[in-house]
Amino acid sequence: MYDYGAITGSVTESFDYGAITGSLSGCEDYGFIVDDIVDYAVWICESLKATDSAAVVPEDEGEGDGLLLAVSSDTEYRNFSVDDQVLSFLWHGVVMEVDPVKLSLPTRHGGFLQVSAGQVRFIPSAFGGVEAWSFSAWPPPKELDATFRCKSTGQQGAAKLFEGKLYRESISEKDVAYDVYIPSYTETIGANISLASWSTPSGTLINFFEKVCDVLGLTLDSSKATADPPALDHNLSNERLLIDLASEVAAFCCHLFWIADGILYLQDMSVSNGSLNLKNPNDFFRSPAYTDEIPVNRVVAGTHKFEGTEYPYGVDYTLSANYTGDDAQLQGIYDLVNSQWAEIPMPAEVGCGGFVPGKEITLLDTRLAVDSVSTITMRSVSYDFTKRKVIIGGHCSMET
Amino acid sequence: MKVIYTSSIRSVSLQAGTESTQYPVENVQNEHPRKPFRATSQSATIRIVESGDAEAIAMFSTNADSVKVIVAVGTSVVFGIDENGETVVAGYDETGATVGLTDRGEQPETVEYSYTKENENNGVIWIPLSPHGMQRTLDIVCEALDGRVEVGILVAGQVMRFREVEKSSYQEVPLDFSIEQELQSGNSYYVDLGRARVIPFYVFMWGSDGDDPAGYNTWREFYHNYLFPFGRRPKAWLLSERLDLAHYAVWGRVEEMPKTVMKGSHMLVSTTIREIN
Repeated sequence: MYDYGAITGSVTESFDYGAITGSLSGCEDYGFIVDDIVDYAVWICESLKATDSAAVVPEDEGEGDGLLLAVSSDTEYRNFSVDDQVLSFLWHGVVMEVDPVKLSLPTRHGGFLQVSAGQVRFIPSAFGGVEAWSFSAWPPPKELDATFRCKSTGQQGAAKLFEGKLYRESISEKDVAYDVYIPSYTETIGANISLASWSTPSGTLINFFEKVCDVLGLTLDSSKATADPPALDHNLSNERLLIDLASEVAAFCCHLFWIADGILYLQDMSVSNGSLNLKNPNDFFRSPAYTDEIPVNRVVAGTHKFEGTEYPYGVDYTLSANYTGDDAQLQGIYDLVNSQWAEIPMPAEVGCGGFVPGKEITLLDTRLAVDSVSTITMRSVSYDFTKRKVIIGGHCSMET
Repeated sequence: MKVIYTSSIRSVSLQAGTESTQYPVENVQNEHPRKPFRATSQSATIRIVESGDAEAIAMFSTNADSVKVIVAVGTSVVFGIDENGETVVAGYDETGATVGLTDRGEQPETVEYSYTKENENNGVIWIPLSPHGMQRTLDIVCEALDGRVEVGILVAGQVMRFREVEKSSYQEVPLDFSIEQELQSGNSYYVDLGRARVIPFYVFMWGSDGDDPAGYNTWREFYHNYLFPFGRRPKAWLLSERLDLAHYAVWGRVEEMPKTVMKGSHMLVSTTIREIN
């Protein structure tokens, strides 16, 4: 906290950022003269990353629509969007195009929730100091931090979707393209490590993730993980990226995880994480898609297998490693890969901010031959900012 | 038909009122109606230094209910006149204490133009000026009756004047950028992304040598002094001088280069203005 002592005069425009903590690197030495306070407040307004509270003020209600992209380089941050948005901050319309950004799991039975597709194309004058609102750097920075938010007309505030990294893909006369990534981690875990002994104290799945969070500098939230975590039993043959290993271990145990604000949320795929009622047919678009993958007859992991009885004509689903040394997890994987999957397209107002892995959607579809109530557990989301559409996908069970 | 085609504004500053940090007064010059200047209160005074040749000021996307254009004067403080008729600027009283000077604020105000909104003006204000001939500073006092005063675009400059457009050629084609999708219920999910007018028309301009006997600007002036230097940059247009300027004053750009046909000494110019809002 900075102690200004008595502040006199007036600050004309105030934003409540809460306690200012951490270090303000790269800032000038202001001294603490009263006249400078207003300038300092202005500097804060311009330099701090836009937080959720900054994008949400009562006067924004009714205005603004679509993607709000808060982008920062090492030294500057900017508010960008597809069209100029006159909100409490001015979001400059420099995004030429943004492909639908999709967050999904690497397997149908769990893993690390990642961006699987997405590109943002900026007009070239968004960089190089060409306009007052451009980043001053040229060439455009190789990577940028970005917070994706979506604002709907008539809704107060913007829904924060996720924080990601933009990695430069190409520069041309016409545009500068960046690919979207969820930030990942470079820490590795060495060869010949026994997961059981590495995951102190008891070698269970939760202990493993506690250790992973320790190494990656995150906090573990395992409140939605299984209450009875399996014991891990596996020796690594090669050095691996820890985050990739964690993704595979979670998927093997039918868990998924995602990382937000320094917290790793580990979740059992069979646990529900809230609910969303979509029985109102005005809350989603026509024709949700209900699909099934090709059937799996056997799940094979190392020397262990689980063979189902329902689809003898199905294929083998072979996992790259067996992380518990037994077949206890395999039936869970079998059930999940053979489960029906649904993708529900919905308007941005309903879907943005509504995606929480594990949340259960109750959907009434009266356009099918027989009215059906489906329960869909959220596993993936695709944000189509151009069409103002959100597609939430997940395992589905349909009943009449 | 008129167009403000040059910029006589040398600088813009805020003379009175406070600007919102996100929307500074310099935004009035950025050609983007959606990157406006916003004050934090109902009134603000934008001070412009204009080069002396401005024939009109146009404002777009503004909620100002009244605008006054005042020639700015410096303030001077004079204590009095002594027995010789000389100005006294400081003095002492009988105890030897310095006598203070006060500006009583009685400065003569030259109001060049005064506007009060009577009917819906669609955010457009067009102010004719007489060219002054010398650089001067103008204070544009903008006041909104409610809320915070806001100005999207402020331009001032020389005006080219042409005949009224050929009425039979004039069209207004609003373009709608909105999207619509069908919900499960069969109702429409409609996202309003706004509209802009595309306005094709013909206008006759003098196409031969010399000046237009009717006193309008010629095609050659339009080409060499407008199209060639400025191309499709947005400008303030007044598409009809006879009809309501709330509708016919447009911030827009020439959509594509005009097509021309010579008819006698005149050039029939066919062009399209696309509104930017």
